[in-house]
Amino acid sequence: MNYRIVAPVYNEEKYIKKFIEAFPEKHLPHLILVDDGSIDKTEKIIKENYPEITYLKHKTNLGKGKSLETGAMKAIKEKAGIIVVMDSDLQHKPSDISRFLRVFQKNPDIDIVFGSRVAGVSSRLIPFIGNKIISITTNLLYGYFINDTQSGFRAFRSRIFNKIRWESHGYSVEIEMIINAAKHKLKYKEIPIDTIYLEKYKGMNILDGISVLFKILGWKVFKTFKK
Amino acid sequence: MEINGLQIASVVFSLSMIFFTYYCFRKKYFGAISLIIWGLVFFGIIITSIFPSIFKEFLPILKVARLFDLFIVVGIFFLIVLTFINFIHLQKLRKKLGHYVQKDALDSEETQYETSDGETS
Repeated sequence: MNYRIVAPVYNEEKYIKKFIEAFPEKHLPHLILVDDGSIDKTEKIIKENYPEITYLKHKTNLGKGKSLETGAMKAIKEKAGIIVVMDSDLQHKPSDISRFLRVFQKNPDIDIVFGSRVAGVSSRLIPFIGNKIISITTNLLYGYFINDTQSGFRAFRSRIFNKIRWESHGYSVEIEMIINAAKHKLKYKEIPIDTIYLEKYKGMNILDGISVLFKILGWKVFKTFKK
Repeated sequence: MEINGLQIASVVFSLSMIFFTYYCFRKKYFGAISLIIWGLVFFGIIITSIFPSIFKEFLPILKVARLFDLFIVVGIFFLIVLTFINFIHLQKLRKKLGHYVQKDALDSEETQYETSDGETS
């Protein structure tokens, strides 16, 4: 199966080795790392130690959304059939990638697979509650029932890229992808994934969460008027 | 004609802004058309500050009680329009920048690949 794994990285010199080394060796040639304008030694570490990995560098920071888009464009250029996207902050287990790919192999009609984080002792309360509020709002407004709308671990067939293509630069990319998928009535599946929460958390904060909520409502109004 | 403190402040502000506009023009931050437009805006503020009564005729038409209220409302409209124009320009620039940075990332990677194949780039 021709697939590519896209992971945006930004100033990850401390964790990048750990992240790459967590990948089963078979996945490494399929990995596309999009460096979103890092100013630390991330680039040097990747280029010197992992020549088999595709490394793309944004000269300036554009945000997670644009990094994922660059990676997806590269994957499509390389004729990948499946594009897996994930975070590089060690939250996601690279060993789960095979489970995503198996879903596509077994279900040729599935367009997109969402990884839903399993709530456990390792998850944090405030992000968990915020995530649930966003999930419920999205589910009510768009009728697309995803348990974990903010999980960045997901995979889709490259043929649907133009249908789910996002405009968001930052953290609303996950939601926009879901809304676009709902709009085109794409077939999806959810699989549970393990999440490791580390000390250094670079993800969404409360303000990002509020901004995402406003965007969900804004898109709904905009799309209703567009009809 | 009696001139109060607020009018003096407006005139001083406008004269300073005319100076800065000219300074920016000399530094080639913008062209002659922008110089004329902004010059007219600040000159307009000076005229309005010194002779506010020329707008008195609009008060009954617009049903505004005082000249000061009229200037405040017009000023707010002006600021909103400017903010909107700035927002549009910012979005356009953001889109263009994103496009060029992404293109550069994809093109550079290809060059790097050619180099590792033994060719020079």
